[in-house]
Amino acid sequence: MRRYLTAGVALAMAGGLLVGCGGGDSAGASNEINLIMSNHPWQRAIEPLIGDFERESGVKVRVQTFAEQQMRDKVQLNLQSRSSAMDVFMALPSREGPQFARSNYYEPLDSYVSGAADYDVEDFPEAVRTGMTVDDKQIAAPINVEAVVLYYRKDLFREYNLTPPTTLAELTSTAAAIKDRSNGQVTPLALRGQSTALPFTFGPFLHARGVEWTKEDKVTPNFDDPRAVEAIDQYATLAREYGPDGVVNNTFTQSSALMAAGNAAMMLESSNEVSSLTDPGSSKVADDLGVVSFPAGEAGSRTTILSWGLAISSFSQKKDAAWKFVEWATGAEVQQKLTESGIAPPRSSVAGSEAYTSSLDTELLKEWNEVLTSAQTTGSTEVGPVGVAAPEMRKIIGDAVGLAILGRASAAEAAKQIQDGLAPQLAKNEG
Amino acid sequence: MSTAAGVDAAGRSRRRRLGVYAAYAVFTVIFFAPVLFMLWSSLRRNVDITGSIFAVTSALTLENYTALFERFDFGRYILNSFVVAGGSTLLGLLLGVPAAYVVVRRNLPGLGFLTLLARMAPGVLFVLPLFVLSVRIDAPSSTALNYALLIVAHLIITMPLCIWLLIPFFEEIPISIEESTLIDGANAWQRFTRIALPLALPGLSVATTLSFVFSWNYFLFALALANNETLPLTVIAFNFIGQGSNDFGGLMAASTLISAPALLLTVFAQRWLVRGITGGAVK
Amino acid sequence: MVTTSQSDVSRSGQPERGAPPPAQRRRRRRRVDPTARGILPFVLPALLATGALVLVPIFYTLWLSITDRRPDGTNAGLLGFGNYREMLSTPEFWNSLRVTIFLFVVCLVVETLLGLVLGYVMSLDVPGRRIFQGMMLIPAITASVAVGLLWLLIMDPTLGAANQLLGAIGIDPVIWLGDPSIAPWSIALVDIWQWTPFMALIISAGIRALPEEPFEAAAIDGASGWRTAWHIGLPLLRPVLTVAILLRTVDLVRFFDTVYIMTQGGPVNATNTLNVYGYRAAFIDQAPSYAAALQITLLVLVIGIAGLFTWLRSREAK
Repeated sequence: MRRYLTAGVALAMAGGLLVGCGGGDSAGASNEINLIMSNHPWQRAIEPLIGDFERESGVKVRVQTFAEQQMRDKVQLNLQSRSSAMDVFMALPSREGPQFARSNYYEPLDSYVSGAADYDVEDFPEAVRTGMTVDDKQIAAPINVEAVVLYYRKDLFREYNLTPPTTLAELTSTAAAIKDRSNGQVTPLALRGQSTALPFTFGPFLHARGVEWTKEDKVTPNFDDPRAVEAIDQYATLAREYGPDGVVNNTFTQSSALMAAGNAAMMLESSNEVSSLTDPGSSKVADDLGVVSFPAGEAGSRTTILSWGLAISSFSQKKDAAWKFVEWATGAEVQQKLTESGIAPPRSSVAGSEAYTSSLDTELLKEWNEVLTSAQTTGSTEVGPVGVAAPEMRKIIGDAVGLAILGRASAAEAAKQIQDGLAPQLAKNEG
Repeated sequence: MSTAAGVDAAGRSRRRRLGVYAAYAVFTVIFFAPVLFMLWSSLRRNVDITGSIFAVTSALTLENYTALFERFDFGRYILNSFVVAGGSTLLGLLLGVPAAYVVVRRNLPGLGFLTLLARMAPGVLFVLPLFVLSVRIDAPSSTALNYALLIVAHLIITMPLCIWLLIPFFEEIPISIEESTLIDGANAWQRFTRIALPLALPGLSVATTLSFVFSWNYFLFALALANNETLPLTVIAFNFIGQGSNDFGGLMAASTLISAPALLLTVFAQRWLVRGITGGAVK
Repeated sequence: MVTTSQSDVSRSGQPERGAPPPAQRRRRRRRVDPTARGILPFVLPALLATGALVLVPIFYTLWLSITDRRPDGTNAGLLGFGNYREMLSTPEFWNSLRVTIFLFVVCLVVETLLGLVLGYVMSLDVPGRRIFQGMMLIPAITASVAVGLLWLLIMDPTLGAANQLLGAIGIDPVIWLGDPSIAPWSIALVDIWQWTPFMALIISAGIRALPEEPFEAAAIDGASGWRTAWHIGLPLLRPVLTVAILLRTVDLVRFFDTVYIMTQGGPVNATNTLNVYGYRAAFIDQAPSYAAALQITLLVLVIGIAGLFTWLRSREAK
């Protein structure tokens, strides 16, 4: 028996060792950090630069990249098991900030930031910094900005003799005109319908009407406001009447693919998607795109703006090396370099720099930059209701709006469902 | 169900044969066409994949495949899949084959059922305990440990499979053959290695093939446990769709490569596989 | 492929295979038993591995499910059946149970019926049978990741191949995954595509192993083909069918991969199976103890259903 056991274990180890040596890694060195990233334009832009950091600092960075959902699974595993195997991870504080902060998953960055002379945290616009703060603690450093913007097809708009919509009312009427003038051949507007992804693009419809997710007290949902019902009604109508087939299963992936394939005339999506839409290898419409701000309501144009951040796990045992990396990756110099790969810089000094603005060499990129810049002052950083149950609350909103899109609930019924569903979730913030 | 002999037997059998081939055609369209579609898509450009499927004359390209190896360390992922699937299959055989033999010879269905538990529990149930273990032994920072852990974790898949697949094969070996060696004074171990094992060789090949395929295909444990040096193909496949990138061609090329070993195995080991899968059912 | 106790049963049903009758065989077997000392090396490694890899996680999860483990890794202590009570009073649990049972029933029924047809076709002796069999085996051994992603592309409502094909013959596009009333059927469709041929393979082997006498007798009596198949073929096939059904059952009750890859339980929870719900509770809602209760419930369900089938089969055999 012993022979068998040892044989088996030895074999397994030998297999591992063999290839392990081939990889030539020094196991668990002290100046080595583990970084987990999501498949994202920022990740694709920073990866080639990491070598520079390793040479400058002597810290080795072990990178792991996953699709967004798989990254969340992996990050959660590390945090829930209090693992020190992950030092730095890409964080979406607007989504999981309070949830993670309550479980003490984030290492607060305040003391690191104040101890770094050249870092200049004030360089980040206030809205961006607010997005990275939970309970007055900075939990992550911003790496990009993205906002909901309206993409449109210049060629089709010329053909149909239309101008891009500037108000919410025009958005619907333009969509109707496209449907009419294309004889239903073109999808007028691609937008999100998948429940957990929908609040990002639905929020602007609410905020532009002057309604926040919650009332002043932050624990009473605001969906008993008639303007919230209006917002649901408009979003559901747009999606049902003028959106693509099967819209309730759509998120950026499907919307972007539709737009790139030339099947949609307008798209409400993250400003990030510009990179795939302008890639001639996957987009048929790379030369015909335009971008405008989210249409204005009574309260003006109030899009959703969010930043991804880099956070340090509180269970990391190499926090100083981890901070070195965060400091480098979110410093002005690197953010300047990242703009060359189309990453919208969160730092004002970079966004306003001559080097950056002159690099925006197409009409589309100029429009895109203007829209993003104005979004940083007018946009709301609340992608959904803020709270420890943020993911769950977004699902409640998305499910209800989804039912309205499908025509299984009226806008008023959906609003009531959200109002009732959110209340107990928001109450969790108190406890 | 053989055809009765008759004057027009030849004509009838030809008609029947035509009928069978017609059925073949229908089922091939249903069950094989999607696989062909995957292969075809992997050879098209992204703009064509999201275009019309009737544009059968659109240009074909190997770009999706070459891009896999340029953009990713794809050769490494293939190697990783082989190490994990191969290692866990070997280990599964080492532990499972003797156990299957004893289950048959000692009539211990309880033991067989115990190993079946692995097959019945939801995979998510194993993920957190395995991850905690991996952190305890500091596996994430060591490539060797990481491989070892992945191989051991995949035992959950391979060992029960080896045991059930081999039980019917051992059952077919008449006890009298083994008894004859008693006279030579062979002990239990010798009877197993010298008599039973060689006779169960077809079963071993089935168990090896299927264990390998199932281990190769499983993604949940690798998603949780692998580090960047040990990631296998299945986990990488998710990475083609993300914000600001819709690489359907890459996705289909990766999917094709993931499926390739299994496809090749069916071509080469098909006869044994069919017998192995059906072995326990048809006795 | 499966199981252990069945062997005795089905063998005693076919004594012509050359094995002595059970009683006699048992007596003989004892005589050549490996000694007590001899048995351990055979099973101990497998037992240890099962204990460490299977039993420990199960008991750990069981313990989690009756305590209050917080997402920050601390444990607030015993909770008794609190998590289970919460589960039973959560509408989503009942929805996910409904979804699980729906997929289980639809997939099993279609896979069995279609598997019988395909299995019959596969059992017929014509040149090229092996090649056909090999092609049919492919869906079952293709990685579920590849299968899910492939069908995601095929089922895209606007760009996908499925709707383009339907459009070519004048059928309106189907909202495969975006409509809560259609999505469960689409998911079932993918499973049926993947596993029917596997079912058929087992069935075809069963058909080929059937004795010929009863069919010849029926032919002499002038019974029609359908009547013969129904009254003689099907009953004879029953042991094989139960094995095939048992195999699929164990996987179908734990339905996970396709949903995780294609819909993550949506739209509006329409495809949220128990297994996916348990995963979501653990990894998205950060409720490890509640998730553990769901997983244990699922495990009990699988063992229960599998046990039921095994019991039915053994009773039938007697």
